[in-house]
Amino acid sequence: MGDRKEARDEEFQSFVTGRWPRLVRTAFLLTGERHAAEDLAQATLEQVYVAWRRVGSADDPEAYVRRVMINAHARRHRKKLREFLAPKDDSGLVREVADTGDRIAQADDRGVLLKALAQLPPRQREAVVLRYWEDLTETQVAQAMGCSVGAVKSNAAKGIAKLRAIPGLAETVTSGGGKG
Amino acid sequence: MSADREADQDMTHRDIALLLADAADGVEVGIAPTQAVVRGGRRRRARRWAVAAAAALAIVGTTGTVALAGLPGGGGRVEPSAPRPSATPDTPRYQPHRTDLASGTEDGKDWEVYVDVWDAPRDKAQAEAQLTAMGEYRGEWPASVRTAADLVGKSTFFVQRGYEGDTSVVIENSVPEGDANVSTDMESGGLGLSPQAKSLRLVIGRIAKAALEVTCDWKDGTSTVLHRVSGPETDGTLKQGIRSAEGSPDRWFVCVAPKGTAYKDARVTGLDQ
Repeated sequence: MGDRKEARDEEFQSFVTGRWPRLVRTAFLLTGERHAAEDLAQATLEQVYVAWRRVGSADDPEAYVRRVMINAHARRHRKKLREFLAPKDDSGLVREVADTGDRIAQADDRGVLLKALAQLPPRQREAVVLRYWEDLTETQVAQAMGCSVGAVKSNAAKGIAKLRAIPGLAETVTSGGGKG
Repeated sequence: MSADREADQDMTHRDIALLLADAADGVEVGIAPTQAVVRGGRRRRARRWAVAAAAALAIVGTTGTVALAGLPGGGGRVEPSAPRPSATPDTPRYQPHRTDLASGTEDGKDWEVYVDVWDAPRDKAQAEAQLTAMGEYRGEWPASVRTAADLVGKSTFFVQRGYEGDTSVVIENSVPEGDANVSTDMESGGLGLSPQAKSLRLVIGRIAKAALEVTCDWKDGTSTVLHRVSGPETDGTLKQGIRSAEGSPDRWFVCVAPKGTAYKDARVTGLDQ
């Protein structure tokens, strides 16, 4: 019995180690701030630990993790613990030495995007991040957000439309995004 | 929408995906705080049991108070003339009423559907406590609720589908207490029997208490007719049918399309009286 529990703990720890970077990145896009992202990722995994016996043996533990994270993110919003979405010094972005024009441009693009994301209502931001960063299907996003596929389509479309309407981002998109 | 416009939109969305990836890649990620996560997880698990224990104590305490009030000289308290309805307690349960709606096995894989119904909280403090309990209980949160105040006076249900031990919420809602379906009203949805299944074979619905019969129509032109059922079969499975769910003012039904076909429609085809 004890061995099994130990094995389960080890399995969970491997899961945390492997999943952590991507989870933090998703959380960062949801919260816009590195420390808030780490808090959200950690709180999510703590909840996953509680249900790990069931979740760990499931075919798709990631789906459960996403759902917990979206719930936790929504909960934080409701509790008025507003994230600090406007990029600032501690935004968590790697502060590269801006020794080339490209790097400055890249940082600007990130800033514009984060600011634009910050202006979206939480459900629209969640739909956009899950659909276009996590690259989930609409059905998977619906499961993560606990809503219908129609609501996902609507939230994602509205979110994208608002992002496209922001002048700075529109220019970035037109010029081919921030990737070199 | 023209093909050109669709292509333009796809391009724009790809670019936004690239921007998101770029921003996400830009965040500096430290080492996973594995031990802190495990410690936090253990604390949460301990708290969850504490919530369950507190709920059990509250029930015992209530029973004791009622029994004492019936004794002569019981402090002048008025004995309740009748038990309070379970759906409208002054102190809501901080755990849901669970009712198994259907279960079965297909190709050696077990599936089940059940519903968790949470009583309506009376005030904001109760709503906050209930939201905390929901989070601790299953990590769930009603999607339509933005603040605890939104939950006051509303009963919440989470319908869960289990498939080979993988359980997920497939339908959820918070509805004003006592807001029940009437006549042939129906709220239903079709989904896969498993999380991966694309074919919508599993149909789950909420209908009026008076509903006596439900007909599920399948795409191949066949139908399945459901009647009220209660309790499990001798083999322990719960056959498809119409069932009451504890804490819910409605009845619920589950039907599964035969293999090779899928959900087309569902309707109430028989009522009491």
